[in-house]
Amino acid sequence: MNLTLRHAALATMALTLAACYPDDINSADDLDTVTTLFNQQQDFGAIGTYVVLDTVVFIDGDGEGGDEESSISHAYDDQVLAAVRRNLDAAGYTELADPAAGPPDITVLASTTSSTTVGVAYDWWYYYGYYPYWPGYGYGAGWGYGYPPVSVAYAYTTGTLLLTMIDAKNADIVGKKIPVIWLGAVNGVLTGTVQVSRVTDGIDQAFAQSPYLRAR
Amino acid sequence: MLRLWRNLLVTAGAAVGAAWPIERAAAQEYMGALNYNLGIPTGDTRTFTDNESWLGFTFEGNWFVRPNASAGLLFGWNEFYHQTDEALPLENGTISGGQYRHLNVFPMLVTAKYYFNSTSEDASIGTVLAPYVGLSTGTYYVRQLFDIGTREFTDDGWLFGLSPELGVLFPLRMGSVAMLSARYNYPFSGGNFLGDQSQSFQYWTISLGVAYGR
Repeated sequence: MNLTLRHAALATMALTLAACYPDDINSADDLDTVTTLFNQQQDFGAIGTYVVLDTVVFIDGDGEGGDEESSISHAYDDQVLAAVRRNLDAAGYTELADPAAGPPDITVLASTTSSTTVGVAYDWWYYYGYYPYWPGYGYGAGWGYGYPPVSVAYAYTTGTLLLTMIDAKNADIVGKKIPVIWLGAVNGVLTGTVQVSRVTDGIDQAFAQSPYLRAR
Repeated sequence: MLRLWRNLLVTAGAAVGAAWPIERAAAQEYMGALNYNLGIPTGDTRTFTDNESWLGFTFEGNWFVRPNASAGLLFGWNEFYHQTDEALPLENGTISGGQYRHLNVFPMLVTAKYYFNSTSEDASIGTVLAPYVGLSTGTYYVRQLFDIGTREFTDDGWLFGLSPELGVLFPLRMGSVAMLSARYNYPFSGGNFLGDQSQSFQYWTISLGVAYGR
């Protein structure tokens, strides 16, 4: 087999592999996740009325406020709470117009939190730099391209909307425990622009993947 | 496991030794090949990544002990990739989001092949259409990667396996040879992969390549 055919085969294979490598993540919303957890002992069919607290509470991890709170906007709280009510109504629950008239079967709390992750990525493709040289002198002293960066620092902030469904009627007053019967968490990478649809779509998905909420 | 390895090595050595001719009149001494692989998942591989692999290749070296028999080595790679948005069940809940699943498999095998229609110097590899059968054994390095959201989960392991093969060599112009083959890769269940489970990542490969030799 001659060299030309061998080299052509190798080149063809390299080009084929380079062209076929799958693309992964193209935008921040590709990283959105929705997680739901529920108490398997709970009879959701027995739930009739609900109340949604009218404030989306920011859970400040270090308790000192500051930059973390500013990463979560409260300008869209009404839209978030409206989406929660819409899904609860669609599940067959009834909002208690006057909580003072009697305790609701469930209370839904919406809260947010954020977390910033920092790290360093290493790019080994550019590990060696290239030094030009003067003929006869070897590598020129003091001249040459610097090494391209081999490490890149990165940081990103993720935000989470937590929907907590509690059964306050069966609270353990002595033990100071309130049963959480359902938890939904919508998580995603925060970007410079607000896309409230990512949050409301996440709320819809949380209820869609919880068919037991509609068991009645 | 060690006893199995020892028995296989002894058996392979005896087979090669029995096939070694007293007078080596083979028209072909060595054949190296570079193949492009299409991977078709089955079993646990299809459960994790339900897509064919269009990324893969093998390097082979085959040393002829007779005009119609060779022993050799094979090194290969296939990457299986699957992207899905389907919801995943948890023990007491569900998680949904973009899932990006990668399965990289690297076979490192000892091969033995028998070629039909290639029995003499006048009818040797490279001059005649030569169907062949083969059986390989060795190890598979498997790396499993699962991305969901901003979380990445990986696990890897080494699995012992077998690989039967059917193929055909086509003589081309300029003295080169094209190879077309189908191979079933069967790593035996083992390891501790994602989900703390033993897995057997089986798959088919359809290979097309070129061979060179002397």
